[in-house]
Amino acid sequence: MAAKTGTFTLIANNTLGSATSSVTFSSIPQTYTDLRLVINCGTSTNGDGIFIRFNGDTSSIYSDTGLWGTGSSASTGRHVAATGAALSIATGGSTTASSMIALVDFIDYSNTTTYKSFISRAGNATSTASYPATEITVGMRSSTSAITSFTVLCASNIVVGSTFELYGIEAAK
Amino acid sequence: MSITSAKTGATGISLALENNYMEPIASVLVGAGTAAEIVFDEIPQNYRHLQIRAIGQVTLSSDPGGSGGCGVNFNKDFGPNYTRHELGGPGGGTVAPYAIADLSGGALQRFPFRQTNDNIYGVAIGDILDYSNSTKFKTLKNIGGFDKNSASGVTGDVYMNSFLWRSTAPISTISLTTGVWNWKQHSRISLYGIKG
Repeated sequence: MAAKTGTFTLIANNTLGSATSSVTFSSIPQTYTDLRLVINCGTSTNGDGIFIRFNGDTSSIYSDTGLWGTGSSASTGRHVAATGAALSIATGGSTTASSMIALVDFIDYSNTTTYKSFISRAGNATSTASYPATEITVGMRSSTSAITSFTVLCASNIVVGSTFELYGIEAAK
Repeated sequence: MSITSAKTGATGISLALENNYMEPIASVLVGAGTAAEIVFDEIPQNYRHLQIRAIGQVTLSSDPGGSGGCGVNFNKDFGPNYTRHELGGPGGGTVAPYAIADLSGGALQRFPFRQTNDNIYGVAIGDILDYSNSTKFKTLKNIGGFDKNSASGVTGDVYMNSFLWRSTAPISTISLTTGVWNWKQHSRISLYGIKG
């Protein structure tokens, strides 16, 4: 077995002091194997999705496949040739920052040979029964470029007090 | 009472992450050519749980564009001692539950087979809880899948998956196989230990 060489490392965090439609993490170190983003947020418009773009790229090369349940039914759905990939298809709870939590894992984010994919697990303390209460999404950007920055965005605003934490995860060497 | 980090103000899961609750044990990156099997052996028994983090593509030529899981066996047990459940779908509105008993191995879901576009890989994260105890059967749960940014054929798959290994033996070896096919170059599977 290889010797232990690394662990979880907090790269950056952000607690919103004012409402904003996007949050960007830039100059991401390329020294880890995976990344994990922890989000705890609310949106100013009930039911808006939370999306992500990599490296400032706004072209239509993103896609995602999701699986979600509302408590009474389960469904799957997709976005294709989109300008961003979904982390959460619909975030309920409106104005409270604690309405949605998501753990997003970016596997092998710094390689330059595979398209970049992520897994997002999100849960919504939704006040609207028809919105997903728990969901899993796998998203992809059709580019082999290493992820050096990303922007989390919402059609409306992400509310004050929402938190974003980015961790680096190092594999054994 | 909540516990808050004096350094960053982190609480809950963030606090756990900050305090290095997970340590790398081993990692395999498939190099030039392919790999038929990836094996983690001599797994330390001093963690509470294990986590597998994977990115991969399978070189199955008879079903190009398809997808599936990779086989998982513990302690080289290839007998009919595994029971598996999964819930997932291709993003087409249909959720497909699945269960089967007495399998010769579990699975880690879900990876694309040989693709027209070689750059499309699947991703998966699996957790094995209390892997070192000698009194309970062992369970692995995982989520994973892929998306092809395509509007036709197998467009994507996302899955929740779990399986039971009906053995009380502590897990000291994990084998990840792709049947008669291979892991494609650039596939990477990493094993981590999670502290109690």
